Amino acid sequence: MSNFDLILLLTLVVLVGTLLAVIGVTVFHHFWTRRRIQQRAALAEEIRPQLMTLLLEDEPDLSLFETEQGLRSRMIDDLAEALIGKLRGADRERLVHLLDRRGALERARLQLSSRRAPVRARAVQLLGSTGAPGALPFLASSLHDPNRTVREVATRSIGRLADPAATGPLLALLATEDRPVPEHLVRMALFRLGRPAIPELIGELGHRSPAVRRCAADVLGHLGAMEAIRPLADLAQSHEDHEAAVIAVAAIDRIDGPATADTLRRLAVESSIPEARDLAAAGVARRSPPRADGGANNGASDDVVDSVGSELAVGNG
Amino acid sequence: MNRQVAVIVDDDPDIRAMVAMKLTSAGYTVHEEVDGEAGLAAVRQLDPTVVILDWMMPRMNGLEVLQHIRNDESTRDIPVLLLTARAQDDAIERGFAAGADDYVVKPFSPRELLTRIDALRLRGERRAVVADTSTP
Repeated sequence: MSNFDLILLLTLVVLVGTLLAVIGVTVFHHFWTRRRIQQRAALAEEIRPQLMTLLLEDEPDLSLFETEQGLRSRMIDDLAEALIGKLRGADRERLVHLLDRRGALERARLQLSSRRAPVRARAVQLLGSTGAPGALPFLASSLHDPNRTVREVATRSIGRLADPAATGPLLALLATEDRPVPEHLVRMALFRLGRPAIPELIGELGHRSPAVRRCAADVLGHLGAMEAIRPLADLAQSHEDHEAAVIAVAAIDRIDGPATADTLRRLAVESSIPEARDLAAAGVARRSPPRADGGANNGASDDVVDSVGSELAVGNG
Repeated sequence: MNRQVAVIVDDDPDIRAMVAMKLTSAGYTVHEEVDGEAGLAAVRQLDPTVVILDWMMPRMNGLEVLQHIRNDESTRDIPVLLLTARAQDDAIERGFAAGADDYVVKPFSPRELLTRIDALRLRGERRAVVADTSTP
């Protein structure tokens, strides 16, 4: 056997050995992952009914869940958090209380300063979904996290708190040039804050940033804020920001209040911005009774409102 | 007293389990299905006391199931409660227009759901008594 043959043989042996090792590791990883998934599924099946009995008993023994360790402990937190998102009222509060007693909320607060972005995102998610008391300052600071995913999770989570104090930190995201979070997420979060946020949003209609003014006007329209019709009408007369004026008219059009038709009628005549005037006129026409000649009023705007409303309101499946 | 039968049709296992546990503890016999087609078949087969129906489901959505229930002579009077994440006013209108007897938005309270289901059942029983007494 020549040296060349020997080298060839050795190379072949190394290649085959490497290939076998790769196959072995892949097969092992596949079965290990599958086994782990099966273990988690079996554990979830075991723990889920136990958690649900909490919702049935008048005075459940929460201490049963306090001494758990390892995977089982994490599974309890995961399942409780998943259930919290589907519940409201006393049952939801009971699960939040359980997580608090288990120390999960305190752990989440500490994990917000973790070096690992997935850990921070997970913590933000938990604090938001539980609506943990005092969570707002933590979530507000996560709106400026260096990681984009964490910022987006924080934006979604902060909306779930339904705390009007979140309005300012959310709108501030739109006031900067770099736009750390997509605008539609901010709008959706503001919409989820709901009617308690209306006074804050009205206050932001005069913000120096055009993006903030426009977003506040749009959300007020989607919230159907009747008390915002007058300040929106003022914005609709704004000569400095035509886009905000048009958004303000569209917002008034969405608000189904006693002053809506009169305000639109006035804007259709008085507004110096042609697009705003046209939009107001279309709103007036749609609110007019059907014409005697059988001509139908245009309902296209309603379809737009419905589709945007669906987009904003869709949140939890 | 006859045992009350409830059919739950929802593709979310957590929701099914929560509703089932609550209803079972209140004395209902609960039958669970994960999609619209199977749910409709169960309603036709079991003639339940009440149906709890999700809207967005695979194979046949809740509104279609509801329309089939209302169009079928044998199932048209069964009380149906829609349990759905669709919270917009137009969705609620569509649900009632399709024949829902009640509408509960997710996230929901299992206690409130049980109260509403009991109310539906009692209303159905009263209607049945009135129908019996008015029959010559």
